[in-house]
Amino acid sequence: MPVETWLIFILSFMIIASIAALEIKDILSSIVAIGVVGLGVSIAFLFLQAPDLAIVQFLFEIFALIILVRAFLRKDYHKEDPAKINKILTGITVVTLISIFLYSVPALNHLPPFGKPLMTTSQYYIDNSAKDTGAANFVASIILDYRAYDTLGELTVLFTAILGALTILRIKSQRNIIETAKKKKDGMTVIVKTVTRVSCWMILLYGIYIILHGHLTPGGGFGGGVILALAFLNVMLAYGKKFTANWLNINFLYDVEAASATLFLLVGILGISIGGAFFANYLSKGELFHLISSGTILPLNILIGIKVAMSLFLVVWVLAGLRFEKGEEV
Amino acid sequence: MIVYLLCFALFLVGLYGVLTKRNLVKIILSLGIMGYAANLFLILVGYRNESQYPIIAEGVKQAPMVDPLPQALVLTSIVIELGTTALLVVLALRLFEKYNTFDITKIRRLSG
Amino acid sequence: MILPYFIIIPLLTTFLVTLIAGKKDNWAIVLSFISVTSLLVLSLFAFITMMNDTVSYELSTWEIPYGIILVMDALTSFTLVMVSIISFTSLIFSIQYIRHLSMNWRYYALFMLLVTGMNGVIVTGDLFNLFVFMEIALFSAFALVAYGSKAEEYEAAFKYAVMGSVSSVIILIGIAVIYSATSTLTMAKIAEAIPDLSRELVFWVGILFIAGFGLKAAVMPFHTWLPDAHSSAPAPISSMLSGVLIKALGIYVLIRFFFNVLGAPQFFTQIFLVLGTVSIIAGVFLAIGQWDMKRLLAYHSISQIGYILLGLGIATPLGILGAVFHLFNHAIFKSLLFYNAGSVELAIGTRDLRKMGNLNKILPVTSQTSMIASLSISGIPPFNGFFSKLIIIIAAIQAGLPIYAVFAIAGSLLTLASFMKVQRYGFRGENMIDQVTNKIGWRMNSAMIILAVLCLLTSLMIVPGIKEVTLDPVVKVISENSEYMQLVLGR
Repeated sequence: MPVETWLIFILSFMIIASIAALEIKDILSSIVAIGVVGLGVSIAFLFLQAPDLAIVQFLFEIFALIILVRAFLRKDYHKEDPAKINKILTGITVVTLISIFLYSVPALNHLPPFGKPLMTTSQYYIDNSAKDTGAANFVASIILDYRAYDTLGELTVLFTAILGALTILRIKSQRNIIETAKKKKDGMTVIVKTVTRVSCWMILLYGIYIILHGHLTPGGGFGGGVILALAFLNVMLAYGKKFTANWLNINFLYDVEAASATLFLLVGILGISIGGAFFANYLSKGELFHLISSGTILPLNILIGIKVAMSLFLVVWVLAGLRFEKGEEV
Repeated sequence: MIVYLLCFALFLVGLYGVLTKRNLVKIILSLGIMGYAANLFLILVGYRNESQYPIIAEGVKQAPMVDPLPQALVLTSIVIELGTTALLVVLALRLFEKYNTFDITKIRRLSG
Repeated sequence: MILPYFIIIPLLTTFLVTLIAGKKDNWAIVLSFISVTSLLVLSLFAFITMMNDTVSYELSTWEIPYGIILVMDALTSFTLVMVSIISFTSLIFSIQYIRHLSMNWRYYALFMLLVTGMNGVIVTGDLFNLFVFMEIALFSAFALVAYGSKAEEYEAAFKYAVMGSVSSVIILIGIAVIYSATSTLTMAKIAEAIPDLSRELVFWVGILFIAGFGLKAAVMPFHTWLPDAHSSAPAPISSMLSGVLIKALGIYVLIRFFFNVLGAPQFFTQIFLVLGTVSIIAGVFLAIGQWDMKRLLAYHSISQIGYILLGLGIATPLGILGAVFHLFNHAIFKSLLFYNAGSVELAIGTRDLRKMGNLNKILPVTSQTSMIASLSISGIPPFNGFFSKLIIIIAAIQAGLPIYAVFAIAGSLLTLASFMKVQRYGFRGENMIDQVTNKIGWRMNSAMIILAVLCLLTSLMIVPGIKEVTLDPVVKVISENSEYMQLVLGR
C-alpha cells in the first residue's frame, strides 16, 4: 500500500484514540490512551522515513507517561468528578472549531502537495553536508553544525524546565529525600533484582552506543540520553531508592548536569576564537563513516547525552520521593 | 492533502480538549495531543515520495532523500514539549496540594 | 562582533550560578549583577555606535539560508537597551525583595534565563530560532510566577502555562505552513518569497501568528492570563513581565513579522487598529474597579499595549514613532509602578488599596516616585507618557482616523482617573498607619529613583536633534519594510 494510505489509516486511528482519551472518565486510562496516540505518531514517523524521530518520540513519550503516571497515581483521585458539562459552551466550541477547520481547507490547498516538497534549501544539505561536516547522518549534521545554535537553545529549554520544576517543588536539599527513602520498604522481588543486575549494564551500554554513533546512525545524543536515564530508573525501581542513593551520589549528578550544559556552551564559545563564529565546527572532520569524525559533532553529542540523562533521571527521582500528605513538604 | 487535513483535525481535537475539559490532567493531555499534531504536520510537509531517510551508509549509493530540515526542527520540538509537560505536571501537583481538587472550575480564588 | 555575546553573557551566568552558588548564595547575586551591568553597557554601546547600520552575524560560519543568522538593526538595539535597563533595575530591586521570600540561588538562575530568552528572541533572524528562545523565556516566566509558593501563584502560573503553551503550538503550526510554502526559515528570505504566495495562505498564517504572538503580548481577547500572572508574581518579576516580556516576545515579534516580513498588508493593520482600541478601552474599564494594586496595574498593562498596537495599526511613520516611543516609555513607568507596589507590599504587608493610608509619610521615596509614574502613565506633561500618547493621537487624526483618536483620548482620561484613585486611597488616605513591617533598603529605593529620573529624561528623546539620533532610525527600519530584506540579503 502506498505510504499515504497507511498514513490516513494511522491518523484516523489517532484521532479516534485521542477523542476516546479525552472522554474516558478514568484518568489512568486516559493517560494510557494518550500513550497509544504517541505510539501512533512514532509509527507514522517510521513511515515518513524519519527513524531518528521515531526513536526520540518513542522514548520521550515513554518518559512523559512515566512522569504523568507517577504524579497522578494515587487512590483518591484517579476518577474524574461527574461533571455537569456546560452543553452550551461545548456546543459553541465545537461549532467554532469546525468553522476554523472549514476555513483552513482552501488555505491548506495552496501548500505544495503531499510528497512533493519544495526543498530548495534542503537540497543543499543533502548534497553537501557529508562534505561540509563529515557526518553520515544528515539530521545530526543539521542539529549540531548548521543549526547548532538551535540545539543550544533546546538544551537550555530542557535545563529551564527542570530548574523550574525543581523550584516549584521546593526541593531544598537531598538529605530529606534520602531520609524518607530509608524508611520505606525498598525494591522489588529477587527475580527482578537479579535480572536488573545484568540488564542495567546492557541498557547503559546500548545508550552509550547510540550517543557515540549519533553522527552515523539514527538516534544521537537525545535518544541515547533518555536510554541512560531509563537505565538508572530501572535500577531505582528494582532496588529501591536507598540503594540507588548509595550507588549514585545524587548531589554529584546535579553538578554533572550543570557542568555538561556549561561545557556545551564553552565548546561554542571556543568556536568564536578558533573557528571564527559562535558554534563553528572547528575540530578536524576526519574520515566519513569512522567513529571519530565530523569535528565538534561528536563531543557535542556526548555532552547532550549526559545532560539529558541527568536531567530526566533527576526529575523522576524527585517525583518519586515526594509525599503529598496535607501540608507536608519535603 | 487529506493527510494535512487529518493532521489539522487532530490538532483541533487537542484544542477542543484544552478549551472544554475541566480536569487538569485532561488539559495537560490535550496539550500533548496538540503537540503531537504539530510535530506530525512538520514531518508531513517534509516527506518526498519514493525517498528514503537522510542517512548515508558506506558503500551504498545515495538515493533521493526526504527533507532533513523538518526532522531537525521536530527533534527540538519533542524535547521542548517534554519540558512543558514536566512543568505543567509539577504545577498540577502543587495545585492539588493547595486546593485539594483537580477540577479547574473549583480553582478560582483569583477573580475579577 | 558583539551579537552572540547578548546570549552568551546571561546564559553563562545561569550555568555558573547553578554550578557554584548552590553552596554560597552571595555568589549568585554578584555574578548576576556583573552580568546585567555588562549587558547594559554592551547594549548602550551597540545602540550608540551602530544606529544606522544593519549588521548580521552568521552562526557556525554558514551563510543563509543554510545556517542561522543574528541580525542587529536599529529596532534590535533599541529593544535591547530597553530590556537591559529594566533587567538592571529589577535585579537591584530583587536583591532585597527576594531575601524576604526565601533567598535562593534558583531565582537568579531563572532570572538570567529570562533575560537570555528575551535577548535571543530580539537578536535572531531565523523564525524557528525565535520559537526556541521564546520557549526559554516563557518557561522561566512560568517558574518565576510561581516562585512564592502561595496558592494563587500556582493557579496563575498554571493558567499562564496552559495558555502560553497553546499559543506556542499554534505558532509552531504557523512555522510549519511557512516552511512548506517557502522552504526556508530565515526571515529575510521568507520576506523575499512572500509576494509569490497566495493571499489566502498569507492571511491564514497571519491570523495564526496574531493568535499566537498576540497571546504573548496580552492583546484582547487573549489577555485573560495576564491579570492573574502579573499580580501573583513577585514585584520585580511583575515588572520584568509587564515591562519587557510582553513587549519582547509579543510586540517586537509582531513588528518584525508583520512589517518586515509580510510588508504590513492593509488587512492586518486594520486588525491591529481594532484590537488595539478594544484593549485600550476594555483594559482601563476593568482596571477602574480594582482595589488590588497589582491587579490594577496588570489591567493597565493591557490598556497601554493597546496604545502601542493602535500606533502600529495606523502604520504611518508618525504612528509608528508614537508606538515605538510608547513601547520604551511604558517599560519604564510600568516597571516603576510595580516596584512601588512591591515596596508597599513589603512595607505594610497588603496590596489592598482600601487598607492603605498615609503612605506618603512613611514611605517617602515610594510615594514620590509613584506620583511621577502615575503622571507619566496618564499622559501629563512634561513626563514621557504625554509625548508618546500625543504623537499617537495626532497620527490618528492625520491619517484620517479621528474616531480612534477619540478612543485614545478617552482611554487616557480614564487612566488618569484610575491613578488618581490610587494616589488618593493608597498614598494620601485617611488610615493612619504607623508601623512598617520591613524597612525599604537603599537598593530598592535606588532602583525606583533611577526609573523615575528616566521618566523625565526620556521625554527628551522627542526633542528634534535627539530624535534623529535615537528614534528615527528605528522608525525607518519599521516603515521602510522591504529595507530589512535588502539589507540582510545584500550582505
